[in-house]
Amino acid sequence: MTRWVLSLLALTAAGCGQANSDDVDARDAGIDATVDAASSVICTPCGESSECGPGAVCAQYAGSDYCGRVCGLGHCGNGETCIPTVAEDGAEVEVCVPSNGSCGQHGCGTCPPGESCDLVSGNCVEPEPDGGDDGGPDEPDAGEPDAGEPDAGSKPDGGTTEPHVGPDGGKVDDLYFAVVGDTRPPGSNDTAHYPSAIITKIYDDIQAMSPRPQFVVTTGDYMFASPSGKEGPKQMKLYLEARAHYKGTVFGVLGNHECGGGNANCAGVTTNNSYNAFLDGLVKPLGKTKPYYKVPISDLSGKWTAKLLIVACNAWSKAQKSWLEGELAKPTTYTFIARHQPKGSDAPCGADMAPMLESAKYNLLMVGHVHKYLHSGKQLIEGVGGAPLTGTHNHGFATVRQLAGGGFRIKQYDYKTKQVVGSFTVP
Amino acid sequence: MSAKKLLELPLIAALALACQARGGPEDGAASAEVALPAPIATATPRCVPATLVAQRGTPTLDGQLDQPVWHAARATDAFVDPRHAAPVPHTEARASFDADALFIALYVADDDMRSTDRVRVEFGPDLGIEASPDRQLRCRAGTEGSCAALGVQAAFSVDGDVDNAEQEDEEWVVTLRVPWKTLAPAGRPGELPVALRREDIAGGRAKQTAWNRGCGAIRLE
Repeated sequence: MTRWVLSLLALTAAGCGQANSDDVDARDAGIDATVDAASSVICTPCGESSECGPGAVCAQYAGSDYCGRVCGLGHCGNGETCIPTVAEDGAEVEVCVPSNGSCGQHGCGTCPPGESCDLVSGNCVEPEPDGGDDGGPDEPDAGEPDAGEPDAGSKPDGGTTEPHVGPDGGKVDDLYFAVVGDTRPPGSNDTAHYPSAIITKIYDDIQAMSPRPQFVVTTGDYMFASPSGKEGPKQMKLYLEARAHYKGTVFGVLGNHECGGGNANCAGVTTNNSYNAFLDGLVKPLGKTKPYYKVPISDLSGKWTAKLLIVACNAWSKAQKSWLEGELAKPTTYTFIARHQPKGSDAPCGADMAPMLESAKYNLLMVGHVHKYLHSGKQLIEGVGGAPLTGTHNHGFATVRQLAGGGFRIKQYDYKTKQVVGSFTVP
Repeated sequence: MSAKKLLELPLIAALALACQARGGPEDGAASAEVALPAPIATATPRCVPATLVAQRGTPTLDGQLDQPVWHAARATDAFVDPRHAAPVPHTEARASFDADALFIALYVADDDMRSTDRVRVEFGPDLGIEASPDRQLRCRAGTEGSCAALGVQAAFSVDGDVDNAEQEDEEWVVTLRVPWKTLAPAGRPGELPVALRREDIAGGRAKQTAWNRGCGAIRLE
């Protein structure tokens, strides 16, 4: 049988399977027959409202499309909540949905303490701050430094040292920084379609936050260009113009596209225009000569020490490996690692770093390369800085905030709405 | 259409009909797609007008977007899920033309490429072209289903491995050449209708996004 026909069979069978999944949950006995029938379709995957029967529509909730009873036909049943959402035809509707935001294995499940379920997206989110002027990313949460925390550049209460993180690190009351990743056009040398508007807005958003993040870590890929051509430097220039909208220090990780793409290795290379543009734009202004380095940060009152290790996977060498092993072995209260490729990658650093990441004590690994926002264990994938999205979170950035009670809270912001669209905590 | 395919059709049609009877999510489209890509306008009456401007230029058909003609081309807005406002994996299209043909480039950001993924270009109800990241091209024009017979050509650029979830895929691009003799036998128009759609299979479900809903157009400038 041809592949064409096989794929159609698979498509057709998949569609059938969806319509008969095990998520049907009849909960609304006692209401009239129409309502009862409509309620029985809750959590039934659907493509069109006609599949849902009378009194129900195909609408988005729990992170996908399911049949849901229109609230106006009666009260929602036990364990159900009436919410506004969008039907498959784009109409705004109100439907009864599971109050836990879950349909089978999909949706929120059990949210961590302090978070609630967004019943439409099916994601656990932190409550939005009340009374904000624009709903923007400007309010700390309970357990985090309060709104009176000084901005970078202002003096702490009674302190004589200004909290500040510069190219060589610094001292702060509580760590609070932003993470941005992957900013490139869809096509090679396609400077005309560089996502300047997106990355500029991201840096504007970070600059406008109060308190303002003390520094920014970028996870790589600022361009998509031929290493021997002139477009790489042009795209780096566009990136730096956007980056200039944030007044603090930016620690930039080398991405694979700054080395020519794929698993290229720029260690020892001097003639790669893209690599040189990266070094000139994001490394040398920090007074550094290598694309890998340590940023030491400590508490103003000496309660803790931290290090940020900037790793260059696409300029991997024995020297960098030795440096990284040595830095990971030095004790600090907190350790943050930033590199371009996620764990498990076959990048030039992948094999050498895998055992280090298994044995080393670190708090958070920040990566990009994948053009989405994701987190898994201690890894944050932050790749939505303007590159073509491959996931279902919009372009944006993350913040990492030290919690008063210990650990760090990571929040993901949508650059358009300024809303928190995801969060998690690491010890 | 080959005799082998004709023999296979009843089996697929039966399965599609069974699915329809059980309220499957893709019922209308699935049965219509059995042999060839279906016109999308018939399944989605809501119409959001959009125009893709095609400028004069002849790109090399190599699946790459790194040519000046594609850099100069204006890209469509990102494809959207017509039913939701939520972000979706990025897809965009560009177009150019010369005396002999229309060229369309489709960029598809995809971190898990599957051979069942596809993009479709529909020029009204009479001509449809479908491409997948495994470099397969399928065409439909009336009763004709051979891309070669229609003169439709494609080139692919695939960054990643198809049907391998372990790999870090990034994107795939297909560039199409559609001769005017197929597209507009009576003469090249100033504008022609087009619908662009992407379909991914993720988690066993078809995720569809589109640039428009059947009333888009390519305008030649």
